[in-house]
Amino acid sequence: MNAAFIDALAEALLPGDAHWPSGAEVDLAELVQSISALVPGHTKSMDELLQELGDTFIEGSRLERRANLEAIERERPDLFGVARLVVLDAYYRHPRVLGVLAVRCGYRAAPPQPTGFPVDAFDPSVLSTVRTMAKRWRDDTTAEL
Amino acid sequence: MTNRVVGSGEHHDVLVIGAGAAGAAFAWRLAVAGVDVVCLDRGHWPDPGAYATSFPDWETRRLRDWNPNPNVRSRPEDYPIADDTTPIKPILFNGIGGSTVLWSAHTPRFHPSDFRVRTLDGVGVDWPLTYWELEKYYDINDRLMGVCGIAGDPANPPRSPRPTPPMPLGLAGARIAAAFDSLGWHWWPSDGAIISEDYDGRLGCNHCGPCELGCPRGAKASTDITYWPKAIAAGARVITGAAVAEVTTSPAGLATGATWFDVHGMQHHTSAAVVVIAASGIGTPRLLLHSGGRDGLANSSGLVGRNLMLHPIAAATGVFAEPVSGFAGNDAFCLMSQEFYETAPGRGFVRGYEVQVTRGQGPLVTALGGFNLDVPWGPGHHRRFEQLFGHVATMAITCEDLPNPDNRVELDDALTDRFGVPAPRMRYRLDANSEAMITHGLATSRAVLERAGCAEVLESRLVNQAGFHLMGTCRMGADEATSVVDHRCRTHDIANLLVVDSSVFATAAAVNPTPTIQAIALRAADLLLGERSGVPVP
Repeated sequence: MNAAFIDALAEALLPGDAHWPSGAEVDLAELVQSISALVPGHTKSMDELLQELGDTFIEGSRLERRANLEAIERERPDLFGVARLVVLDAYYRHPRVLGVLAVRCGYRAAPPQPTGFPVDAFDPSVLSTVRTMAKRWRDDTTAEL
Repeated sequence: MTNRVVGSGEHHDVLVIGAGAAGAAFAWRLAVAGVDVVCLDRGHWPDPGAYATSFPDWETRRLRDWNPNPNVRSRPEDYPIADDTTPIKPILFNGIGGSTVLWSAHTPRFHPSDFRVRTLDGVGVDWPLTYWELEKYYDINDRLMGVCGIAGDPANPPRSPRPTPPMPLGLAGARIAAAFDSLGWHWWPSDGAIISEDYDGRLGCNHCGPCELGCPRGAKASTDITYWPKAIAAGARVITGAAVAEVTTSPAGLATGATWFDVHGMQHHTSAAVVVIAASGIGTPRLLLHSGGRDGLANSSGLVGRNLMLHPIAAATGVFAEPVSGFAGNDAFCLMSQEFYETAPGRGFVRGYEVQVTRGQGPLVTALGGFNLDVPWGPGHHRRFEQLFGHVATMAITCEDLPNPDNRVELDDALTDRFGVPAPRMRYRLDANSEAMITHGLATSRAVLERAGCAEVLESRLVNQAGFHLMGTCRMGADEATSVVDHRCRTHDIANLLVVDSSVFATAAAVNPTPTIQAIALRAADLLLGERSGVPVP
């Protein structure tokens, strides 16, 4: 698994647009390698994927890469699943992508704790309609409501 | 907390096996009454500082060492579960607190009718106890665990004021609640074992989202931070890293204690006058089937492991055009509906289901497709991601599962844990009643989500990674030929052997079982205290 392969893979999985950088633009190689090393078998799967796709994948056009990946997704969903997981994991943790998440989605780019999120407290007045509903549970002596 | 290995020869009044929801409640009740109680658990004390929610890679930790499925998580204390014969995969946690460490803490109660299923609806079996006998124990448990909610729900019997107010509905929850009102259908803010305000020395929730990864703040109740500190202060002892392999018996057929392996593989025996198993709906039948003779222990009925019930869960996810901050707030519940909970004619099924409204997921899980989202890779990925992230809420349809003896836990022929103890195998199939309920639940959930303004609704007929409610495998009943334990949770075959977890459920109802598990355990402890002089001693 080398940087050129990871860039090509990330570009195919996550092409950029006017707001989001592509997977290749944010240079995921180092993070993808370290994430893959955390789970037994993932680095091997990535190496096997590279073998399956061959060097032509790196040199191919955008359309050729997509066609090659679609074939792998059909024929080797196990390898494709690992590749998609580790590349998306690296991408959605990259500081530049977290910055876009904050701007485009209003998402604070930090772990859930210790800060949490501000949410308006429960307002009991929303119960005004349902409180008027008749009893809806059965006692244990009758089959009827 | 320290882990002290106990050698052979140590004797206790009561030995509890399993430190989860039930074991903790049971041990607490005995300890505060002055009983010498010791608990063995194969896992360890959770370290809240290690919970995934405090780390940048929190979403992928969920997929690895914090996965709720023990076969994926595969920690040293986990035992494998053969699950290729069930479409619903096992979800549980081994450690002090048990599955409450990773639960989402939704805590509805059973209805009175749930204990009279055969009498009222002609299916399943009746329980040998009533809702009203459990009511005071539900209340005790609510105070000990610390719950949020609000009394007054027309779909449930009146209940005591909740210790803390309901969790916020959030933007999506408010829209969905209004849709229920508009349709004239029931909804109510969920009771949950998450404190919305500071309570009992614990901090209130700060709405971070993924409760099922453990709560480092301690706002979500898990028995390692609720019952156990109080039980230990009252004199209870917990031995961690103690993987129980067998319940031992005397020549007279009474339980004498348990043999267990420590983390180094050394074998020990702890003896006690009363043995209480609380090892989950999978772990408990596994232990009983591996104890005693060829047919297992306490199994003259042949029902140990039988009648496994799991709550099939379907999901309908609504996509809102505008952001609803779906990532903010406890993710697994904000409100529930029991409009279709009780049996009614004309629906095509008997019994019913609850709908639990959940929130959205974090960015990575959303990008990967979440539970039932559709996010492509390649061109279009970002556009679709923006349509979904922070824009969704899911209605989880929890269906009552009827008992069926063919659905079961048994010992696997080949698979073992690291100590050589046979692994359990789950054999389970959905029945036609559940399938009909799912179809009905998806249609009604779609109607609500569309009324709430969702332009798109994504459906999943069965959530596979949802085997968290493991019930029925040591059924409670009055007749020893058709049940394993009596109403006191005492096994019919062995007078000083109790089972107090969800294994004893006679039927499953259509709600999360944990408060009922804990109420039953507290009641069983009270009955044991009251009858202690009448319990035979080995």
